[in-house]
Amino acid sequence: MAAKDAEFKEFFEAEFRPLRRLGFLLTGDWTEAEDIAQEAMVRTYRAWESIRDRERPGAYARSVLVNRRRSLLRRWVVAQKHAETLRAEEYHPDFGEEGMVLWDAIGSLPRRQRAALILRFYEDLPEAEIAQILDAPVGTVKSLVHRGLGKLRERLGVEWQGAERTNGGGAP
Amino acid sequence: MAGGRADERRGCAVKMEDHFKETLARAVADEPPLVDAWTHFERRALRGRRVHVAAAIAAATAVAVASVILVPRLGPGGRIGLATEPPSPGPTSSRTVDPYAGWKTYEYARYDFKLRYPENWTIKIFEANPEVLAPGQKPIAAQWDSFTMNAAAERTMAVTVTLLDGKLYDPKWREFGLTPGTRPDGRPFLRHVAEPLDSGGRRITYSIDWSTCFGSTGTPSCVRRARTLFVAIHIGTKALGDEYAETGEKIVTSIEYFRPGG
Repeated sequence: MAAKDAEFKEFFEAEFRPLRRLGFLLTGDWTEAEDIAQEAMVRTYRAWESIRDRERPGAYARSVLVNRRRSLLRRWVVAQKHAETLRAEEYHPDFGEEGMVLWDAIGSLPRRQRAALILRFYEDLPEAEIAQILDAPVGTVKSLVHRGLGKLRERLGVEWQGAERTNGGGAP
Repeated sequence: MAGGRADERRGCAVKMEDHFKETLARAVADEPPLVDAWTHFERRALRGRRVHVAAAIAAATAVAVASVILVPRLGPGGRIGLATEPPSPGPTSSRTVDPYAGWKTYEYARYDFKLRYPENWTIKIFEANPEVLAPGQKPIAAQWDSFTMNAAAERTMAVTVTLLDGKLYDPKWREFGLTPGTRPDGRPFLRHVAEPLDSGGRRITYSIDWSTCFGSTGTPSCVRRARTLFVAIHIGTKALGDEYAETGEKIVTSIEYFRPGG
């Protein structure tokens, strides 16, 4: 038991902060991000014996976090705590004006599209791994990413509409 | 320019994917510090185990209590009898007493509510959220400890009001210790009494359905939007509770939907 705890603590220290960041990108709220990252860690800990040998625990924790089913009760409890736990409103992302437009557009995406885009472009995960995390076929992941980017382009306006037509327009 | 937006500063094309990556990286660049994350995790993991044990004990207790209370009341036909006779109606009086006589009225159009509060209490607004403070109490919002990110609210007696998006009540939550109820205007609410603080204080919270257009279904011009008025009575110590808890509940009871000119 002690060996398991020591091993898990090492995992926790390496992975909690990235998980919380992922939670923030998915929810746009640091308080909620902290909460769901903790929940993902608790579930990973409970499943530790069965997952550590056959799959990467980090992938398992991400899967729990991304596929969370936030109960209304949990939202209520978090709301209850909001007045006295985390002063999340003090941490506003610093975007330019254009970045803010994109951030708002990301927030308006359906949950799975947003998750697929973030896992693909923030976590840099291959589509096969995203498919495992989302528990969906690879084709569905491709479709989620494609449609998600399309919606973002729509929201950002005509200047971004032609982005799919070339491959050579990347930043240096 | 095909392939992306012209970035005039760098004189090169920026792909949508790169812009997306950059925005995500910026979003998490300024993050709150981790405060006791491992300690919180340990508590939460431990609490999960306790909840399972407590749930089993509670279920067994409920069955035992039900069998003790209900079985003696079952008549020969298996019907449950009344434990007591219903009270006879007392003498009625046509005189009505205003329970808020001498209290002040506070109207807050931003959250569409008004409330009553005693003359010697005060109201402070912090980041749009009103706090109704008992005499001599400091606002909770002014007691944040920026290092631990906790509110040192253990000495405060206050009623705080926050407006949240979404519907944060559901009668099925009664199984989690949340008590559902209905306000005089028909709006449902949930009440929750938190575990007592070490100081003997406690926190009582209400989540009230504060949807727009409440009760006006069928009005085509009215678009209903789910909102919740989240009201908390913060009782810092037992002494504060003895003196002010009842007043705090009266303040919450006085809250009414209010829209200027509406």
